[in-house]
Amino acid sequence: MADIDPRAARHGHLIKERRLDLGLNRPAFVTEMRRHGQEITPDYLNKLESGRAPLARASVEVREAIRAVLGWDADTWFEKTGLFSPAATSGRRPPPVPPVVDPIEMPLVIPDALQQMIDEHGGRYSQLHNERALRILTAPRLFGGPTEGPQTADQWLDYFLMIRGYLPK
Amino acid sequence: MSYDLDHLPADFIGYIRALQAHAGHEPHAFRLARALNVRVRVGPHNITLPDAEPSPLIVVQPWWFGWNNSVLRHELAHIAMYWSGLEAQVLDAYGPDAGWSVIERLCCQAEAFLQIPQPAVDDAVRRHGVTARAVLYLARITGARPEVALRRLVYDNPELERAGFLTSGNYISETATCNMALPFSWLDREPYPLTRFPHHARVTAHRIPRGAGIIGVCSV
Repeated sequence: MADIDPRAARHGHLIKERRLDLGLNRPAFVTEMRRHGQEITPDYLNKLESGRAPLARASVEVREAIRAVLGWDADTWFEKTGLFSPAATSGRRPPPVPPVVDPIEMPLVIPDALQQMIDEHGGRYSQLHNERALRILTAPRLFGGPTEGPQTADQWLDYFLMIRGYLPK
Repeated sequence: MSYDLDHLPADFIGYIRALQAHAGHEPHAFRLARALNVRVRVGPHNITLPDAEPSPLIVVQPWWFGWNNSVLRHELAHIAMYWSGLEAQVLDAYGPDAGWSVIERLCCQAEAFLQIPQPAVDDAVRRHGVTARAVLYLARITGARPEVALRRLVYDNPELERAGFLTSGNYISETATCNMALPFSWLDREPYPLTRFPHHARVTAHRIPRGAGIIGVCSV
């Protein structure tokens, strides 16, 4: 038998524990899932709970339905499982240790080459008009320092395409 | 009232220490990232996105992924700098060009602090004092290179007066000074570095095991 991923086993244990706390047997849990628009079988639920089917590999829709049945809000879900929920309202989580100084908002400075790239490709990628996305894009936290970062419009495009999946929409 | 940048190194190191304490003084970079809820992914470049959603993200090149390495620690230091609020203060004070260089250097210094947690340093000082032997002890128990252990010990408290050096053959290969000057500089030719110190200086030295040099540590 293949080794079970420890994280999958932990997720499975969490689901089972919460399900039993709620007094749901497996068929009842599956019925609740159906109410949230997701069809899963008791066998699949068994695999999830044992860790043989990793929760992290389930579709976002199934995970969201499980979260709803378990009655956890998005933040609690993230805290317990470490998995992203699109329902998270706060977006970013606060730092684990409070800041040393009060945060200050810096003006957004867009380099010329980036502006050129935005002018050329802004119509195709809406994130290039999102201020938060641009703040992430323009902060040169690259290993080796800011001089290692993109310098031309083409390099900015490559860099943007590489990280766009992590930028706010 | 604006932030007083005199406190910047001490505040940053203090924040790193607080994060490590929060994570149970985890010295392994990848496990530390997990403990701090920082995602680590593979990509073509090493970058940090501390304000990514839903949690901070580090992208590392494949050969750095999952390893206990200084690249990951450097990127974690960037996240710590962002979380501490000091990053914005530095950028505000110095402007983006100089500011990012200052941030980069501070994050390089923080690597030693992330690799060698405070309990290890306290243990080394309790056993050997602020000496060359303590540097060797730190290097041995944490797997850090001697120069990293030297920097960790010398910069442990920004208020204290400490300095140290490493030699390679007849040359000074590494220096670390904290509120104290050394009688020579990095890359100087010094066949007998200990003779350059005044008699009253509290200098200790030890040969680097299996190396062609010595470690020297000086404190007040």
